[in-house]
Amino acid sequence: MAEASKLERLWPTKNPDDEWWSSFVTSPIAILINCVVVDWRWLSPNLITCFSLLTAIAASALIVIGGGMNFILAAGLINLSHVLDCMDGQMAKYRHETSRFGDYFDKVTDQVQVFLWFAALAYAAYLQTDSVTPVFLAFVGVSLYSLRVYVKYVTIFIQVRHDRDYLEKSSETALAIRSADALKAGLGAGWKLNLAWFLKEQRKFFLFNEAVFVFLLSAALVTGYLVPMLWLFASSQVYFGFVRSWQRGRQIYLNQQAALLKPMAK
Amino acid sequence: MGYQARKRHLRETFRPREEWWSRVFATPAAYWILGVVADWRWITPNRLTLLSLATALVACFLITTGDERNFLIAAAVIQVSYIADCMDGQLARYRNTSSRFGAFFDKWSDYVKFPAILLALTIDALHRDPSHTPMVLGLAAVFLVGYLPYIKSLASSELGIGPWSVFSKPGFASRNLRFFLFEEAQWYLAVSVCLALQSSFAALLFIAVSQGVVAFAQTLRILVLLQRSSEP
Repeated sequence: MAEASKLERLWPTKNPDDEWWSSFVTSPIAILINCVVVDWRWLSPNLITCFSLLTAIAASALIVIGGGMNFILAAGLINLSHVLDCMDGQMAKYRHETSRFGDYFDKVTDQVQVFLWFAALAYAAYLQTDSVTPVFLAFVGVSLYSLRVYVKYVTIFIQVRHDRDYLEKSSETALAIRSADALKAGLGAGWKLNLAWFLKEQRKFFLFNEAVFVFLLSAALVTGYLVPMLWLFASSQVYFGFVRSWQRGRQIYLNQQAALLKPMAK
Repeated sequence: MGYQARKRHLRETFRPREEWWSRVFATPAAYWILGVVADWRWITPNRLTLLSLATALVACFLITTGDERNFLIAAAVIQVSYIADCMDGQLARYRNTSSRFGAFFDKWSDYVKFPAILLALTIDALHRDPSHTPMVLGLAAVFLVGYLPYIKSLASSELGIGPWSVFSKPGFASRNLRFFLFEEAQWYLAVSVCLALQSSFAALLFIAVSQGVVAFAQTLRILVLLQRSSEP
């Protein structure tokens, strides 16, 4: 009985905004592992974030060393690192121990991990093909991925300077949108609802964000298609880097016009 | 507006920048140029941002040619780009036309310029020495110049943590020690100097090492601040 109720208490800590691969693979696995370890006092969310980073570094090292067996091992470690990455947030929410430190530490290590994996993979592809193209693909992909993330925070930074409540307002809007089209899938929901949810989640693949990278990286490592994966990575990040920049710029521009119009509306 | 009146208004709205190379070179240059052109209507802050981006891309092209004379021109063009970058905000304040979009465009274009210049440097360095050293340095540099603004904007937008206040006291020593924060201005200087010395490899090495140390220190600083603020 204790186990079942623990699972029920843990389930709501799963992030409803989970990215594609984590949504139905790594995050549920993380919940299951948390069922066992969440009450171990010596473990803390920040310690798990550390383990996640160390696992990611180990995976990158294995990729650089190379060899079929190491590649498969690295693919496993990349997924393990991502499971740990999902576990830290769940544990923090479960124990009501969420902190700004933990949130920041988690985001920063995520950024480092993505870079380490792609840099290592590009290096391995360079050794295989003896051409520098993979390195430049990783170069372009990594810079545009970080541009994509950066424009989000620059937008918040600029908007907050003009409107202190911007963050709260936008998270309220996000919550409203989410609850409007939320499918009540999950524990206790029937298989039909869960299947519908699962199918709907598949659209998230095309967002090409971190969780999708975890899948693509491990698939490439297992099958050996390193260069095609890097092409997919670079081109998707070029697309999203510029689309997100355009969207954020437009959003700021329109908000600014709205602010100009405000006194006239009276 | 006459020259004297323009200068006076410019002085009132001018905000000196803290970064070492900016204070020593680019801001005075921006001040001097704006003294002449600040009232030319066809020059707008956003066009200056665009000019800064375009000149940086021209410099990238010049670097990839690998030609000795083009390297010298690129070194100068990068400084022109940086001066234009310092002018846009000052002009917006002078005309009282600062806008959120302008601020976004300025930050965005900076963030695009960094990796573009590093890409050009890496292409040239690999051309001269096709081994894995320039490759590793280039990848590390491109990550670090993206990582630093990211952690800073994340810290300030979500957590309200401001810029590093170290070496920001008035006084000769503190002002010049600020060189060692290796902020944006200094790495523009370093790239120009290395290009003038005909070495794209040295530029990559400088950026990777200096930004690596600063990135590590900044991350630690922000984490320590967060840790302290969460203690009861």
